[in-house]
Amino acid sequence: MEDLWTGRLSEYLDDELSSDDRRGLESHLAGCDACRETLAELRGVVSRAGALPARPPAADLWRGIAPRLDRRGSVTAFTPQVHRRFSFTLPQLVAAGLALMVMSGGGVWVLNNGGRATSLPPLAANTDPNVVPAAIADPHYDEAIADLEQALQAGRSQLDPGTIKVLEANLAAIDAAIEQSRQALATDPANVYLNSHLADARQRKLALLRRAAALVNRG
Amino acid sequence: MVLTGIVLALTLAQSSAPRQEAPKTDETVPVQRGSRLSINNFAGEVVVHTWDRDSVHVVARHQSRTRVSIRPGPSGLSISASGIMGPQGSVDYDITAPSWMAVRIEGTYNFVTIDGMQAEVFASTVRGDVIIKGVTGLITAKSIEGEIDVDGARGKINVSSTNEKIKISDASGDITAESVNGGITMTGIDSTSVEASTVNGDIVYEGKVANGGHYSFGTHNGNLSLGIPENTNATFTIRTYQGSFSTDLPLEGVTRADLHRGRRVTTTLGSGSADVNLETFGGAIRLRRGTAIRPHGR
Repeated sequence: MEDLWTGRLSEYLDDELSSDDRRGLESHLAGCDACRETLAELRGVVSRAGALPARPPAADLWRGIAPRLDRRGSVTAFTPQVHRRFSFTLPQLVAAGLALMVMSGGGVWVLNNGGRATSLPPLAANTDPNVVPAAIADPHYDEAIADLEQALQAGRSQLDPGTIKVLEANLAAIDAAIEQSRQALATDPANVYLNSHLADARQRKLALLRRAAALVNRG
Repeated sequence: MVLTGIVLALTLAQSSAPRQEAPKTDETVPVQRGSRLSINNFAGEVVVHTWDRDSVHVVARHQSRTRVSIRPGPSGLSISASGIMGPQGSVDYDITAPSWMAVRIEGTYNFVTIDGMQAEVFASTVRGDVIIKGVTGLITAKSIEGEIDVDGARGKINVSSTNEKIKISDASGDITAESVNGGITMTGIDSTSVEASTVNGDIVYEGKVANGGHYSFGTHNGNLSLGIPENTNATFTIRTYQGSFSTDLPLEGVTRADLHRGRRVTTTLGSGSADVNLETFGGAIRLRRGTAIRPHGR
């Protein structure tokens, strides 16, 4: 049977009680078998938990907790969630397909224009004014990225906040690589390596966003 | 405080219920050759090892309100869990299966170990490490936040971890490894095709470079360190935008000036049979004989 001290046992264990409350609880423990037993179990479980490797919480708890931890979301009731399904519209899929086609084409271009070793002497970067840099602007790619980012944003509550944080950190890392490549290209637009590197980074971002969207979709 | 609160809630819930041992599923199911094993575990651990019997032994530890379902089907055996009164809790599986059985494991907070399978294996987690030991076959492992460790594998290896490191050791066969913030370390590799790329992590490769083989290593900010036998026959294509290159191999025609601003530099070792591509935007490229990393600097 629970009493008013039962709910404060965790604070007691964490040494968060005031000295008066602490004395009160210890006095209570002296005469309450149930609380002593609960405290002993709690100590045992905490001890075992501390000895274990990092382990995620059980599903039933987490699905209730996750939305409450989302700073941008409002507090929701602790009830089992109905899985939301996220799907992409046909235009979105077409945009993604076109983006992949363009990226594949870029890969072929790079392959045919310096991506592999040849018997030719090394290319000098940005020495030939007639060399045309690979086109980077691709509205289809941008649309696909925007759609995937939107899907990820809309489905944030479906994912562990920690996972969201990790995904965002990794997307930021890729964005930084893209930005550095862009800046380098601004001063060296015909550089084959930079064009290839930028294309790889953009492809990587697309792949990670697709993976994230798939996680959201899976719920 | 949050953790303690959760534990307290669990403890109180348990103390109010009749005491009982942790429920355990223990079942052995016969399987036909060629069938597959599929496991879906939201949270917990899955360990799969092998024996020489044509049956699958499943031991699962779980909460009393979690029910484990072991369903034979036309394509194989499917294992999953569900909650009797709500969502499932975590389940720890210890599974023994015939080595010929292809295995597919998916989950979110799921730690996976697959040991000794001689067939295709697939493991996917969001937050949880994947360990694959002594597997022969097509190997696919991917995670967002978990480490990937592949040891003693033979076959086609395709692994990715978005945020954590990838380690591949004593492996042979085609290898593809990819990360964003994680490093990739490959040691004891005997392969004719290796492709490894990451954005912020380092890449380490120690192993053979086979005649006619293709090897590609690329990072944005990380370093590349390769340790290869001195008698290697390879053509190296090296590109870095603002990184550096160093080697103790007898390579000619590579100077610091050549490597500036992404210029492609090609150099040959031996007959130049293999094709080795090394790229980094801002990291260092180190090409060593034997060991990729030296304990005391260069």
